[in-house]
Amino acid sequence: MWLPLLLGGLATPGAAQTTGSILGQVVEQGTDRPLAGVSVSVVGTTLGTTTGEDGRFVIAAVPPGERAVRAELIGYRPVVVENLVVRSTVRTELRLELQTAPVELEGVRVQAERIRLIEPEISTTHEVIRARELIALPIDEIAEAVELTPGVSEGHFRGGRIGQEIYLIDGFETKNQFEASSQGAALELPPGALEEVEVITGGFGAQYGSALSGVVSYTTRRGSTDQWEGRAAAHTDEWAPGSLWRGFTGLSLSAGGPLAFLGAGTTLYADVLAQARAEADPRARGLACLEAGDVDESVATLIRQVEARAPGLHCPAASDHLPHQRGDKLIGFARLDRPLTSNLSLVVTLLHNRDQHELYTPEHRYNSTYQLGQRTRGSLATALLDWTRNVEGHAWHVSLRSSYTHIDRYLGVVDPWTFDGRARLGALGFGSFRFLGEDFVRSPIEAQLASAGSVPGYMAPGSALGSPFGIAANGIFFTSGTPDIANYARSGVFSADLTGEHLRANGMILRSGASAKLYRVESYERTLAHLSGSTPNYARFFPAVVSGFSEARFGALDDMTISMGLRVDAFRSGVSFRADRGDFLSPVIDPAWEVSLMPRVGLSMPIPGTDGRSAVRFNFNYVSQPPDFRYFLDTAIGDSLRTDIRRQGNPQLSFERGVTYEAAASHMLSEDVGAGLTYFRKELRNLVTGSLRIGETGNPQYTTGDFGTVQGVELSLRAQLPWATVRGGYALSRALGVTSGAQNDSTADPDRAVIEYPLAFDRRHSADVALYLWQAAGMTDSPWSLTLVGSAQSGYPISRLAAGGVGADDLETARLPWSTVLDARLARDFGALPGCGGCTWRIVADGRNLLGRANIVALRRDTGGLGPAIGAVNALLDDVAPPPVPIPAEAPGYSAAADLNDNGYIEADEFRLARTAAVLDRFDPSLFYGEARQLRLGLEVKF
Amino acid sequence: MRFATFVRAAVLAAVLGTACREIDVLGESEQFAWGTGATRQLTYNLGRDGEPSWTPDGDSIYYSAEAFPGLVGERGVLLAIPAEGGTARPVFPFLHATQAGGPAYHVAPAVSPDGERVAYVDITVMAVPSMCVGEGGCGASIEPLLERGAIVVRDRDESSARAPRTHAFVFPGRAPNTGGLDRAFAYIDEFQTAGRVGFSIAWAPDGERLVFSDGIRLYLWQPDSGTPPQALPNSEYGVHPTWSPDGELIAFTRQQASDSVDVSCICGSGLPRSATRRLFINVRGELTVIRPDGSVVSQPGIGVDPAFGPDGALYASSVGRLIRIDAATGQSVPVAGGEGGYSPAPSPDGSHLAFMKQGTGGYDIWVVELTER
Repeated sequence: MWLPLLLGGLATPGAAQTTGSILGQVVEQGTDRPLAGVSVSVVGTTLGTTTGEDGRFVIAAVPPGERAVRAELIGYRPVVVENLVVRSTVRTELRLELQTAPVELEGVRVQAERIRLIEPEISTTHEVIRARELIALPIDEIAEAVELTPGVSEGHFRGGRIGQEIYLIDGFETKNQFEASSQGAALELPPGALEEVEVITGGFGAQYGSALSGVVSYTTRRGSTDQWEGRAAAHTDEWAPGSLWRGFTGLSLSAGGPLAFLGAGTTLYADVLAQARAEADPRARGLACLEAGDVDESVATLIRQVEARAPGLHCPAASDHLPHQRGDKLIGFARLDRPLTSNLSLVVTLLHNRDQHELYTPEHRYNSTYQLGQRTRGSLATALLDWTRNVEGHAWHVSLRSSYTHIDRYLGVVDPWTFDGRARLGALGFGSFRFLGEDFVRSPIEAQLASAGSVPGYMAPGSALGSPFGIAANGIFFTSGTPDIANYARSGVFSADLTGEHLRANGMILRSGASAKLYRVESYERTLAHLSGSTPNYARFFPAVVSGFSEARFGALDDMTISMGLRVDAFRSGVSFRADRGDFLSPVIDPAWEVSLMPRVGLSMPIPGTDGRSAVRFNFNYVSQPPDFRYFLDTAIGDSLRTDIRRQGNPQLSFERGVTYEAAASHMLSEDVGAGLTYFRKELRNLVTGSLRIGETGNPQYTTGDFGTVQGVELSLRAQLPWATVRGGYALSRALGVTSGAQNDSTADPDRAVIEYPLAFDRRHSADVALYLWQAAGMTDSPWSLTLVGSAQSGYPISRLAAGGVGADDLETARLPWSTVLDARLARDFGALPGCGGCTWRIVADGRNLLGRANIVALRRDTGGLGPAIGAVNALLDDVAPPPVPIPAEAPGYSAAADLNDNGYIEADEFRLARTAAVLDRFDPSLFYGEARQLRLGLEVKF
Repeated sequence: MRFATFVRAAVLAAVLGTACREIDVLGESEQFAWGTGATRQLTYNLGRDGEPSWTPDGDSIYYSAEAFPGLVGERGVLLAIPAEGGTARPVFPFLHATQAGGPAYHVAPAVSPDGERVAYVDITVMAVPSMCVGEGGCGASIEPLLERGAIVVRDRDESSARAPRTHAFVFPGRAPNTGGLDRAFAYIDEFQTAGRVGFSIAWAPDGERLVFSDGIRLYLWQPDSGTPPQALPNSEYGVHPTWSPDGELIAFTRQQASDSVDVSCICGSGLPRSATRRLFINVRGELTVIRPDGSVVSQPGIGVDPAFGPDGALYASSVGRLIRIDAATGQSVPVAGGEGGYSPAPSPDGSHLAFMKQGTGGYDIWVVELTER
């Protein structure tokens, strides 16, 4: 028997991000009479309640995922609703009809609607990607799935700088507040460990702070209470031909199930992901070559000369593969859920990340021994106590949580032992990378300064001996010695928060919370590390952030839903400084607390007369976030204008702020297709900038002098057919910044004092489509599964003015070209795996950038092209004069490729030609291209 | 001495004695030139490269290079170059970084049989007061600088705790301008004018003993014994020693002074001082084979720079070409491709011969193939 169900989600900004809630009404079938006293419970949990006189109920703290809800009342046939999707941040609404049954009959099972095409009750602009999609998508990391959200492109949310978003894992904020603008998300989860990912780009509730542009909320999986189940997978491209080989091997293993010995209902879920990569960041053209068509005529002439006279010196290292990018990634996750009482539960999670790889740097391309590398280790440990009480028509939910996050990023010269001596299994290395002199770099700064020693193992970057150009490439390439920098940043954050909420069956929610984060941050930067006496820049400080919020959701005018909230954030940099750096005796200032007050209002409603097929929503939010803590220190870092100019830190920076407006409409085009249109406007101010302040000529400090506006429209489309699911989006936006020019002296040139031009991440057009077919769309009786993901986007502007390149007039036309990518994942189930009871297996083919598009992602700022200007070439050409005597064949500076007449000597004219070739080779455009084409095969086993 | 070794030594001595008598007909046996004649030039240095010496594994050749680009030690640095050709590297990089104190240079490297040590000659130009140098110009043109040499035995591994063993052998305090020159200075003079050096060192197969020449005679030395070198009887005017593979014989070149000329200089200042040197214009070498106890075995003939191959054959330079004196037959035949070669050095497996030869920019190191691999 089919019972009509109405499922709905209400925007319930839940600080208790690990759970959702179910709200609904039970009526008698045929009469629609509300039924009181109906027992409603969530199957497999201790959660349950009874309906009130109006038949309504509410259950809080429901674990997200596909759940089953049971309703029963004496005299009626029980009903079990299966596959009810409960989401952590959205309350699920359910209407149940019970059929009278004078005698006890078997209950009725019904399937819930799987995906909602429009959500008339939700005012936020968001996308939710669920576990099955994450497994089906051709992705290596969750961030790639986040990109499917309209308005999100390459980590930028609605034209914002990287770092204008926050990441939450089960409600715990993991933003790398120290260097968010360069490092993005601090911690990564394996795709298999997630129940869902929600990406919010507009109208986020009062519980979210530290974000101007977006929120990414991960909800992790919990183990099944019934049985142990798991999944093992291995993917590799080691079989692939050279043009497709990227040296990728990925292994993952996940399992979850009950731990009865720790008490009924206790579960564990664990997931381990390991990846080995010969090319950590494969680029579409590999080690690319500068061609005559890439540059202006004067440089092209030089290229043609080299090609004609010394073809062996023209791009001697060009290859399908970008070198010096070996690395590996390891992610481990575990979650323990343990009910303590019927109302109280404990959740403990542990997450550990280690991502380490070499960093390709053109100048060290021919150094076979020493390369730069980076290792990022991150750990998160959380504990959550959840208290819930569900009674007739009411639910109370209190969460007390604490966490400790540790992030440690080290950048330095990779010890050759890392690849020569480290224990490995195939391409997978077990241990951590070793870096030259890391122990010294990490030793107490006082001892380092006292010793004035160089970093052990570091050697002055030497000549280019051994490169194809021999001594002619001196000062261009370094084949001896080591790269010369060592730095690290590490931060520890202790966080605690308390949130309480009261839910009523009529849909009203009251929620309040407060949180505090205490940081310990260390930053170390050392250049010229081979030199004794070179002084590191070091800082250790203790910022703090506290916040509180309160919000209410309530209904009005029939179907209208209003949410109102107020949030207050405060931070203190913790960096004491002298008022005048040039005066040792000037007073020391302790920065005060910065405070930001943020009202937020959202409204949503179905359009009257459309029978719920159309809806509108509006949002008005004040948003703010503390600046990256790194801006408190002297550093050079890309701000929203990509100035990349080293500036003096400013511990007194205030909040970066913004106001967002949003209006949206959604409509069900048919029973299978829904579409949405959103207009947004985001006014940003107080953005950190390295530019000079208007009217100033020389103050080198970071300020919050930038402001700008981003506005645009986003179109989303969702279709669900029995055999296919389509998720698509298109965004058209414009992001304009207003600032004084980085190079402009507004005093000397008042007309150019204020310039409006595109923010660095002003992506005008972006479109993404994900097509899930057969099993990937939920068609469980098909052995095939195919997911196609395509994207097309226009290019970012090239910030040539910020680099001191050209005039503002050129800026509108200086944009990168469009890029398009098509990824696919095809799988076929083969049923039971022989020899493994209860196991099934499948073969998976996983392809990236299948069209093989080059996809320019960056260009040189000085020329706006792939190649350098002749001035830059000449500057390097003239750096080194030919040697006074010919270089004999056995001399280290000799290169057979440069000995054009093969007489055993590099003579002066040969030297000049070799140097020209070396200069051109140095300007390889490899990193200007997008992701490389890849194809992997995998085997997956479920057990 | 074991009997078998004794027999081999006796046979070899007899053979070489026969060779001595037949060496005069060397030119008539050219049709039997030894080896494939396939040569390759390993070095192109515009300065002088000389005294090649193989590492025991046969992978590299050590040699001394003059005026090598980029290294301190203008007159001689020890380099190692892959036997197949390639980039030469300093054998002891730190030595070139610490020579600011004097114009020392290094020649005649010899790698020990176990490959762990290198013996070489360290030569330091001494600042010796001269009666005439700097007074009117005549002194500078004819006065050879007095140079102080030392045999140095040093571990290849720079971090080794074993200290270098050193023995100085050239005579401090003997001024060259006292009215005549002895053979030592004549020898230096030859080196300076012809670009070759007579100081050379050879390891005994046991790796414990060395034989070297100071330009006047041969010495036996056990560098780790703590005792000074012992002069080898019957080795007067001996240079270029080489030790046979079985350790029973030592071959060398005995310098035979022939034509000489006395050069006198009256100092241009008019002061009553003069300097006279006797320059040996033509120094002829006679190959000589003795036992380590000094007993003479044979004198195979005219030639310089003898070197034993692993099969006991003796290679040398004679009449402007490289020759091979077969240990079994006593026949001497030219080495194909060895024209103009000096300082032959057979590879440990006998398949190649490294040698020095005048090239584009002075002497360079060449390798000729003796047998096809």
